[in-house]
Amino acid sequence: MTTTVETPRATPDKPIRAPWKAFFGMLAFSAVVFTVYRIYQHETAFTFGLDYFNPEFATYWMSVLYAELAIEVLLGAAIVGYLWTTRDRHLDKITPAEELRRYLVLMSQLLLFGAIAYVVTSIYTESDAAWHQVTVRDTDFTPTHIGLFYFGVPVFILSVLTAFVYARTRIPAFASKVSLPFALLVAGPVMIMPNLGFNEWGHTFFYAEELFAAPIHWGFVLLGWATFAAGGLLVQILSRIVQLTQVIGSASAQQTDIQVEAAAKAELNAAA
Amino acid sequence: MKRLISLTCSALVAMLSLVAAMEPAQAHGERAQMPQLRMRSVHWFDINVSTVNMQINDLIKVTGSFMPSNYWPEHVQSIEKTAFLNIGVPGPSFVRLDSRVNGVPMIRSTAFKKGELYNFEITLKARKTGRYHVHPVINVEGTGPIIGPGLWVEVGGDEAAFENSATTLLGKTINLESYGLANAAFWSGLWFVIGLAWFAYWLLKCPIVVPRFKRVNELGPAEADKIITPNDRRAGLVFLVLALSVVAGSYMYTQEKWPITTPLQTGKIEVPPIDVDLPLQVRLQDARYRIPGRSFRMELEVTNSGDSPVMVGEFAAGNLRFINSDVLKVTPKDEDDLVATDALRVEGGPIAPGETRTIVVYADDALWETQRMTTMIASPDALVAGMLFFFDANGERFPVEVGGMMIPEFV
Amino acid sequence: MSQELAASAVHSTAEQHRVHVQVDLLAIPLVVLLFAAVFSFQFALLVGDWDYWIDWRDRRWWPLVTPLALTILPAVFGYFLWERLRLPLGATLTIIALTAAAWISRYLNFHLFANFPMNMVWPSAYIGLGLIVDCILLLTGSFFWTGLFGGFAFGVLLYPMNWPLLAPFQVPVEMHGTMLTVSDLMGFEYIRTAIPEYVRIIEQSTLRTFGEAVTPLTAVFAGFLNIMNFWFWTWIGYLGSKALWLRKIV
Repeated sequence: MTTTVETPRATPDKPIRAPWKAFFGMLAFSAVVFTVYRIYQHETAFTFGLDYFNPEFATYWMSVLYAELAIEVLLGAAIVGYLWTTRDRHLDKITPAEELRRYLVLMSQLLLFGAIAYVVTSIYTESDAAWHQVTVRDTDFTPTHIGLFYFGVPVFILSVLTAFVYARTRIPAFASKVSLPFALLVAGPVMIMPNLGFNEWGHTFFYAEELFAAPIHWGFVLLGWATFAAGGLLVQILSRIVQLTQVIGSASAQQTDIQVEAAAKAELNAAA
Repeated sequence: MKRLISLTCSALVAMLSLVAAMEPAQAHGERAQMPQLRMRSVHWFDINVSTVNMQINDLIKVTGSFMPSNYWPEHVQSIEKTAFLNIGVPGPSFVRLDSRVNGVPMIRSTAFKKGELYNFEITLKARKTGRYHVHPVINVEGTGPIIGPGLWVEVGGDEAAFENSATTLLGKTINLESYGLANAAFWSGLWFVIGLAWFAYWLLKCPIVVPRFKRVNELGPAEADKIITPNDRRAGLVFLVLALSVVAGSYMYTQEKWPITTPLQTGKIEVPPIDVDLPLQVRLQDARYRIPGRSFRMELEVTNSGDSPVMVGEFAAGNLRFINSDVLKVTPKDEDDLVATDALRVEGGPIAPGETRTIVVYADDALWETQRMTTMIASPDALVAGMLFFFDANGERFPVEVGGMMIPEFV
Repeated sequence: MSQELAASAVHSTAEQHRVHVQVDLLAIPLVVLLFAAVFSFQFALLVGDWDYWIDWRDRRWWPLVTPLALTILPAVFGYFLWERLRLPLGATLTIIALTAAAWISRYLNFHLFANFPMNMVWPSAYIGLGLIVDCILLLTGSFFWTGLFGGFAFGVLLYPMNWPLLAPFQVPVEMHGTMLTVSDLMGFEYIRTAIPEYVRIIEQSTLRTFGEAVTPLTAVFAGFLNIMNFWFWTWIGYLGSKALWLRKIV
């Protein structure tokens, strides 16, 4: 290992950092949205949300459902569309510093996903638990379901999908191959939706009680376990970060420059 | 981005202020239950509350009667197996101090017999302010909650003044609102401190992720343990001994402090039904629901074996009441009391003692529609049931259940 | 190797250190949040009511169901953190994340939203179990011994670890001629419309063996079962830590 060699740099670059400003901005924005949604639920669930067939339910809850579904579809299409159309078409020419920066961006996106996933699978999920155990189930679109399954879950699917598409379009290793653990991390939450269908079908058919640890809910658990592949994804990310953060001697640094230049030249020739 | 955030925030604030300006309106979603379940599970009647306006800590009695239907749907589990008398308010807005069916305390689960009559009385104490639609409920195992009619109750006062205490068999009076929480929080807090100290021990070595990942990779699985220092091992031993000692010590301390405890209590309790001697036999010969007129028509064969002429005063089905105003005067208890005070038409006059006669009863009202009972035509077995209330010349009431096949009329 | 070196983005150890700190700042909160998310979710759906309500924490089912579900994440992520980073933190950190998330959720959802008093819905204490498993892993360096002793400890120690919190709630009271514990009394008084009394899956009267020792018997049985449970989930952790790449999807 080459560890203690200091190399004078040709150009004083900015130190490589995660995009903290953007991250905290998005975190604060998500926190505001989830908090305000939560306050809205607190104020209106037990007043206007108990009876699906009341006109107030349509005003206060069904309108929220339709609005959020539309926003999610548009936002999802915009984010994925943007990431795809602005994809890096020259990933072979990416500098190590840029690649490392992108890994840090990817990790910050995953961190945001982690934060949203926590709020959704803990706070929003258990608000649904608390709701069902004190009220009578009258529709699949209960206030807490509208918050959990049609707002929270799609948003956290969107956040992990964003990270996945970012990696697919901007990070060489993830662009040339498909990371199985990453794909599982995205697929698990997505599969929650079909399981929701089974859950509601069962509740209207053969499962009347609101026991939370019930077999009808185990499908959700199985899909939650898709996140056990997170370890594999971290191994993939860390392995590359280790390579990108090796301290190299001045001789090999020079050699790198020569190699990069040669590669660029070859690329140009090929293009010509 | 900033504009987007401020725009979203202001939209959400506007939405919330709209909410604050609205009056609450509650029901319990009973309209979502299938009509045949509502008509053929439990017939509720005489539901009453002792007060409709109360303060925190005030008591209220919810009383009434019910009869499990003889026409209980085959495809849902029977009330004769396991059931529990409950109350439908959103969460513990009230605490339940007593609950009885035919005088028997309903702390535990029970079973009710089809076709038998039961009186219930539930005593509640107001805990949270608000306007509540209070329903009696019977939870039936495997079937779910069967909801009775609701009445509005308004609770005012100071929530902070709410009190709820109990005296244990060891003679100690405890406040159920806070009892044992400080103790549970203390032990949880202690475990948090110990656990976080362990986490902090490893965090002090930061950066830990990449360097350790790299080193473990370089050393390979066989040699990777070299990364663990003797200090780490010492810390591991200290924390292991500490954790085991806290478990053992806290357990022994608790055994000393709480020597007398009992396991959780459960079980089933039996309730004898009320003996009712009815001087009437009623058979439903034909039932038709005419959709355009929202009209329910029944042809009934009635035999009066009593000594006074009887008349039909009320028909009740699925928590809807249709009143024959010639026999009975009823005033709705509040704006959501599901009573049609003049909606029952009876063709055939009083049935004299000893007489067997066919009468025709019409229950015509928009309640069928507004309470979503018209979807009874979509039932998988097209069976209906309801309670008929006959009255004799002295005003004595005889509740009789009728039921049978129903034919919908579409034109 | 030369190719790897050629791809470096740093030029000095100081710069390398700075990047490594950045990775720590991202990766450590990420795993803590993910642990909180996944653990809360699966715990709610597998243990749920047993941990929500004090009148569900019985002597027979709660100490059996809980360790089996509680072992999953410590074993899965314990494998990853030990095998890849040699950090004996998987069990403690996952359970700290679960417990912290549970306290927040019970307060926000069951107390503020659904109005139950906090003393009816506090989460149980499990952090010590994670600590014991992590320390055994550190000291033995072996998943076999950790499963054998740590997995067993999960089952055996869960009840005694929680007894200091739970005992005050199992003091007897009398109500209308029926003996109840304080827990049962609260379950009756604080109305749960959709959780009737009969839904509780708690101990029912059965034959007593081993001199009426219900709790120790359950604890030891749970411990034995949990040894295999721990090993199984460690294996899942091994599968989950694999950095697999596919050429294409489908």
